Amino acid sequence: MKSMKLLTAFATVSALALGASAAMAEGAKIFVIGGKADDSFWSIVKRGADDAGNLVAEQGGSVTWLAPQNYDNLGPDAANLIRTAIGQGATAIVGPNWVPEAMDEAFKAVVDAGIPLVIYNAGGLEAADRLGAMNYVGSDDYQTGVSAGAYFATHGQTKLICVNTLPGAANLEAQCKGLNDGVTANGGTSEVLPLPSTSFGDATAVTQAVAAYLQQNAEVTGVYTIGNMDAISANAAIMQAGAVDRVKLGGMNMDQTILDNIKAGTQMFAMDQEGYYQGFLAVTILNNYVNYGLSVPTRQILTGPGIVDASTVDATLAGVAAGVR
Amino acid sequence: MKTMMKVLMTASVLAMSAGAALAEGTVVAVIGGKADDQFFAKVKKGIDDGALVVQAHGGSVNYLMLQNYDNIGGDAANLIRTAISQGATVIAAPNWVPDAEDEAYKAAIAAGIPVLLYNAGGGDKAKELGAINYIGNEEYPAGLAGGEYFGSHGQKNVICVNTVPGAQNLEDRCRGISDGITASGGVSTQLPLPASSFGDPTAVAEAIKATLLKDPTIDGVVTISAGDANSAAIGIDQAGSTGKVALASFDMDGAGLDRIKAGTQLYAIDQQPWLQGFLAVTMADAYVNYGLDLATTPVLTGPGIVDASNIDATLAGSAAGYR
Repeated sequence: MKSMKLLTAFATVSALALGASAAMAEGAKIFVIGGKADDSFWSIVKRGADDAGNLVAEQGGSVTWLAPQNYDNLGPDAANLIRTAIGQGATAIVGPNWVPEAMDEAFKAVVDAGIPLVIYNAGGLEAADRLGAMNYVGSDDYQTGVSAGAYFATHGQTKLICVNTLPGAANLEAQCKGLNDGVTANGGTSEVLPLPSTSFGDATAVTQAVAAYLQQNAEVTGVYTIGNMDAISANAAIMQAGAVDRVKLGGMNMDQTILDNIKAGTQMFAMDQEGYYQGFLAVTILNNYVNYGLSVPTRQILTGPGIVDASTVDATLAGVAAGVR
Repeated sequence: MKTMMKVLMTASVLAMSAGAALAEGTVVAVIGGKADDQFFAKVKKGIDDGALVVQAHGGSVNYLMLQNYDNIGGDAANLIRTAISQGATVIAAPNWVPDAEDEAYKAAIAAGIPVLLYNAGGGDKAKELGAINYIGNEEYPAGLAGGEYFGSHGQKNVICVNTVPGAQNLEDRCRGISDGITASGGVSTQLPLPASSFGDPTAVAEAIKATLLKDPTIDGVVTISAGDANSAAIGIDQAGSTGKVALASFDMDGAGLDRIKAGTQLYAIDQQPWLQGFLAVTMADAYVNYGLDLATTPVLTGPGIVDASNIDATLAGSAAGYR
């Protein structure tokens, strides 16, 4: 009985060894851990991975998308998906470091197994370095804020507020800090307008709070929001405060309403992290590394922020229609 | 009358094809080197692979190639103008000779055609011209990576053999090597060879042999080209220094890869031309179709270090036309 087990173990090992040498001829088996394909953001990332997959398939390889069923238990579920990818014989793995405490061990198992790894979407270069990954492909919240602050200032808005509807969340604090550094470097100033967490997701409460602030602070000329719903609330607030001529609006993320507002001129710009490039570049980098030893020496490839404003809104709308934005 | 008619007809045909280009998808025009140029054959492979993605988006790629290298700057500028007149929706091109080409780039941008620089030009030039990005190599960081590699593998006294002294890009390579090895306590000096030795393998091998015999503390040699590395291998051998002096090179060829596999060359610094072609085409397409624009600029495709650890994948890439 025992020896039977041992035999099975040997058989598995030799099958694995065969698989490894066959992989060269058959192309890369790339596993991508990501969000649900019916999530409006992750469908775009998946589209990028699929587009890069054209070439992977041409070379005889495959791209497999692994997503959690829901987001209720994200870290452990994602860690299990990473282990699944290893178990299914991945020759390369891409994943976001959403919850380091829950996922780092699984990522380390990838590297320990000699499987090339790229971190994308969440974690930053810091996570890539900590885990021994080749690269990080994604955006950076602080840089996004810096770019937004600089954009406001170079377009004449130098007194800003950063509306934070989730005070305490590190990524949003980093964005507001970046906004301040970006506008300060260009001679302006900014304040954070923290709203109580009870107002998160409550459009009316956000609108009222922003409108009241704008009425009391006549020097404010720019409003920055940290999510697309908040941008729509702030848009209404600017109108309610009768500040349409004075106050310009910019914010993180975009949807159809926001793009329509940019097109109509009632929102100046939106910051986009360009999820398509996260999927496309992560898969491209790994495919060519596995097959031919190619690597991109530029470490930390920031896919965003991309600034969508009146000058780029038409191409962006075309991208939305095509499912890549 | 006839002439007038012909002109009018041509104009209306042109206008039609411009309108049709939008409806039918993007035309990504790519300017590049000759197809029988070993380096550009790999760039072209990347362009062709990138075209798969462009085609999936309903567009096409038009490769406009130099016929020879006698007048690179002027000819490349003319190819950019050809791309404009053929109704390109976006142009990717190397900025080999800024003095000769910049005007053509500006004409493209003035005509509303976005431009992406690849292979030559650099990130600063892309910013200056208002190009989407720069995809390619930069010489100094490549040298720096090579110098650091020597330093972390025990070399202390390295010569950088420069067979075209005075050429800025090669000076930058050697300067990078020096700064990279200095950081770990080593030194690198340049061995500038007279212009007459360029392309003369025997002269290069002799000069390296003589230098090694004169200074036995030299433990590393790096050359600025794959051809010079072949000469250096002979020079090292003739000086009786094989195994004592580590050889490295910028760029690589079949002989260099074979030496790395056999253990008689430590590493080669590759600028990974396939990535230049592939990323230039796919990023130009994504920009013009969907407004996608990476925040990171430039995207460096080199240095990629080839050594014993990745020589097998590199040889596979070489056989498949990728490296």
